[in-house]
Formats: sequence, C-alpha cells, structure tokens
Amino acid sequence: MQKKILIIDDDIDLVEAMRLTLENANFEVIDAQDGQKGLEKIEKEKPDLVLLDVMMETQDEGFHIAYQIRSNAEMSDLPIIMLTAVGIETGFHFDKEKDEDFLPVNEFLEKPVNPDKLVEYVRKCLGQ
Amino acid sequence: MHKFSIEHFPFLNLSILLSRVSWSITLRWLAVSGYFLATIVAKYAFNLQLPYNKIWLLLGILALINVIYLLISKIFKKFSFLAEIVFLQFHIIIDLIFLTAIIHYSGGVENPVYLFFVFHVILSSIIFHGRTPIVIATIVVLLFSSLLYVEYKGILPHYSIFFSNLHSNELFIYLTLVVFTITVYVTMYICISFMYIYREVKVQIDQQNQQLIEADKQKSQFFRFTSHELKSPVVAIQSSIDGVLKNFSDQLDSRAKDLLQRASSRSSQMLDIIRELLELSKIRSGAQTSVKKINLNHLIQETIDQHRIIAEEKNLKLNINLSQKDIIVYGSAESFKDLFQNLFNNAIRYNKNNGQINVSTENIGDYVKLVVKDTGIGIAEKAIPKIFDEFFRSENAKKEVKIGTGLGLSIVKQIVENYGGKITVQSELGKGTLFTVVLPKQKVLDTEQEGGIA
Repeated sequence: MQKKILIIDDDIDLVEAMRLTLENANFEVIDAQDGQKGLEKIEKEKPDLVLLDVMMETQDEGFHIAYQIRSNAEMSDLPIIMLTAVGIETGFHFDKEKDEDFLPVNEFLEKPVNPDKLVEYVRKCLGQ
Repeated sequence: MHKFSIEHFPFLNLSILLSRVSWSITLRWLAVSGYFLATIVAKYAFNLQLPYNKIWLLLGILALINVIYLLISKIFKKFSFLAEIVFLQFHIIIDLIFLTAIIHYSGGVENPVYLFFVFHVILSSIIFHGRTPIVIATIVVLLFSSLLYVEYKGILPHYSIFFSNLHSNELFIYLTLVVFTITVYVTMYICISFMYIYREVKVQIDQQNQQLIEADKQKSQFFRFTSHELKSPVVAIQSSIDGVLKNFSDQLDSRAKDLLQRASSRSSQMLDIIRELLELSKIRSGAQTSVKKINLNHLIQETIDQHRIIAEEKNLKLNINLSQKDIIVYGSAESFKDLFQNLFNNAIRYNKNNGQINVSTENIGDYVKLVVKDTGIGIAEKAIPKIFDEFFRSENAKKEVKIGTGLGLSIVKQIVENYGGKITVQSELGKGTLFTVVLPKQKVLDTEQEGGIA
C-alpha cells in the first residue's frame, strides 16, 4: 500500500519540490502550511510519516509541534523528520547523537534537502 | 559646593579614583618617612635647633591617620564615586593643615619646605573639577599667609633656623607671600587648562568610539538580516533545481542538464556564503554559547581524521606534532572546531599535490600555541594585511580554488580575538603559509576599561 507523507512547511515552493521527488518515489504526499493545520491533518488523514519544518511562525514552532505529536497517545509513534534551516540561526545545535534523548524526532535533515537523501531518510524511517 | 557628577570627571572612573586613593596613601608614607629622615639629618648632622619632639609627634599623628585611611579603603572597598571624591578632598585638606603645622615647627618662612604646598595644588587641579582646585589653592594661600601673620605678630612663637629674624621682616614676608601666591594660582591655572583640553578630547573620543561601536553593530545586524532574507529563496531555488534534476533527468537534453547542474552548484555556493555570514555575525554579536572544558589536542586530532580523505586525494603528507601533555581550554567546542577546521581546510585546499602540512600544539606557560603550516601557494606580501578581511580572497587563491566565500579567516580571527588570543601569519608566495595562534589557557575576562592619566 502506498505510504502517506505529510509535509508541514510554510514555504510552498519547497513543498512542491519535495512533493515531486516523493511522488516519483511512489509516496502519497499531503501538506499543511502551519503547525496547527498540520496537527489537524495528522488526526484526519493519518499520515505514515511527517516532514516538519523547524521554523515557521516562530523560531522553534517545529519543536512545539513535535512535542505535541509525541505527547498525544494516538500519534506518538508517528515518525518525524525535522527539516532544519541553513546555518545556526535557531540557536539550537542539531546533533542527532547528542539530542536524541530530548528531541522527539527521528531524524534531522538540513535544507536544502538533497532529493536522494530525502527519499533515503523517508524510507529508513518507514522501515523500508 | 558644586554638583558632583560623573560627566564632570570624564578622566576618572571609580577604579582610577581607588588607585588615586591608594597612591595618595603611599605618597603619604614616603612623605612622613622622608620628613622624619630630614629632621634626623637636621638634628644630628647640622645641629639645627628645632622643636623636634613636636614635629615627630605631628608626623606620628599623620602616620596614624594614614593607617586609618588605609583601613577605611580596605574595609569599604566599594565606595561610591562621590564618596571617593570627598574622601580624597578630605585627605588633601588634612594634609594641608599638617603641612602648615610642620612648617611652623620647622622654621616657618625661613624654611623653603613651604614649596611643598605646590604638590597639593597640582594634585587637586588634576583630580578635581570645577571650583575645587581654586578652593584648594585659596586654602593653601590662606593657611600660609595666616602662619606668617601669626608668627609675625608673635601670636605663635617663631622657631628660627638661621636666627635671621626674617619672620619679622615685613618686606620679606610680603615678597614671599606675593611670589608664593602667584606660583600657586599660576600652577593651578596651567594644570586646569591642560586638564580642560584633555577632558574635551576624551569626551570627543568617547563619543566617536560609541558611534563606531554603534555603526559596527548596525553592520552586523544588516549582515544577519540580509543573510536571513536571502536564505529561504536560495533554499527554494536549489530544492527546485535538484528536484528537476532528479526526477526529470531522462527527459532533459544533456546541455540543459549541464546548465541546471551549474545552477545547482552556484546556489549551493551561495548557501555556503550565507551559512558563513550567519556564523560570523553570530560570533560578532558575542552570543555566548555554553562554555565547556575542551581537550584541544583531541579536538584537533578528531578534525584531522575527518579531513584525512581530502588530504589523501592530494597525496599530502601530514606531520602532526601535538603536545605530550593535554591542552585544556574553556570555551565553545563549536568555535574551537571552526577555528581549527578553517585553518586546516585552507592548508589542504591551497596546497600543492604531494605537499606537506604541519600541525603542532605546544603548552607555553599560561598560553597555548597552535601552528598550522602548509607548502601551498602562499600569500603575496601585499595581500597579507587583508587576508582576515571579510570576503577578501587573494588573486592566486581565486586562481587555485575557484569557489570560496572569503569568510573563513574572518571567522577564525573573530574566534581567536573573542577568546583573548592572537593570530599571526607568515607566508611566501609559492612556498607556503604558516599560521600561528596563541590562546590564553583561561579565557581572559573583559576587565573594566582603564582610561585616563596616571
């Protein structure tokens, strides 16, 4: 069965670029422009994986969304790949090994995301 | 009494005043012991007849007062600025009274030691502002005139040194007082005029400094703002291009594909610049990252291992000579990594094939020395002063490696300077380059800026 991926990102061009790659890799792609809509879509559409932008309205909106997903019993197992911004302007240093304990996401991917890497990470998180 | 306010004393801050107070205490010890020695010489070498016991008593009391000053300044370490000023004024006035009494017992007008009054006039003209120096000068003149008057009138006895009866010679007293008064006021006038000019200049310099700091801050903010604004569009551009390249590769004609690949590599170059600009403005803004204990040798070895593959592509020989003893520094691991990585990367990128890179660290007392030496293209002499400038890339560097941001060494310099260290470079065109970084083991904390005159 085709897996469904939700992209939560406010940059529509970026969403389209990722959609192209993921659809070509045989995934179904849905999107949401902000965190709140993203949470609603998770409940309604039950995606298999979420690609979550770290910075939307606020510098760390992505983190809050991730925590909300993890703290909701119904969706706490949902794999999350966090898309981090260029450079270090969030003030967070992303280091998976170090941050695993307290960052409720499965993977980090730095923008701009290389298409091959995107597919590879998505497959890995889906256990394919 | 005029109002005290810091602006009236642009040359002074609390720490300078505190050092003035301790200086004044030291001077007083010297003066007391010097005068005591002088009386010993006067008494035993020259057999001068003076009331030594009284002089010694006065010196003793003055020494005691000095001990009290010392205790006060030790106990109340944190005086306010105003309190320090008043404390110093009090010192000077007490000193003047004691000096007058000592002159009285040491021969009055016969003893040129009254010239010592001029020291106090100079001192107060330098330290104080407004009318205080005039008040002090007037007190000096009044004290000395009164002394001569009471001795002249016989209200107080005159202790003669030379038995010349000068103290009752009206003309001599007038002459002495006129010359003394002129000396005191002119000295004061010269000192305060001089200080006035200095204070004006200091205020100007301070203002200009403030403007420069402000301008630099604005520049950094502009950097940061621009980088942020540039970032999202470039990310979108690159993602779109890469998306097309990946998904429509088989539909693209080879020249179209080539152009897209070029576009992709250029936009990734632009992202590198943005990334480094953000890094630089972050270091600039002095944003404190967490300070950790860092083993510098481990960090360097780790970084070298990560870059070994690129070095092997050029068949470079790495001579790594790290100090036997661990080098521990305190700071942000990211910064130290950036620092070394930038230098090491340059040593690889601008090296010749089959070249060499020497990396060494050394403990030198309280300092750490890091040397990175390559056998690369070198830097032209006239380019050396510019290599730490933002965006600067030397002609030969551009020729050797086309793509580069010109920000790496600015980042390095900023990190080194933030840490209170120093970086120097020696280079010969075509032969190689040597970077030396000296860092204090303990980060130098910003101390209060000392300004002003001695």
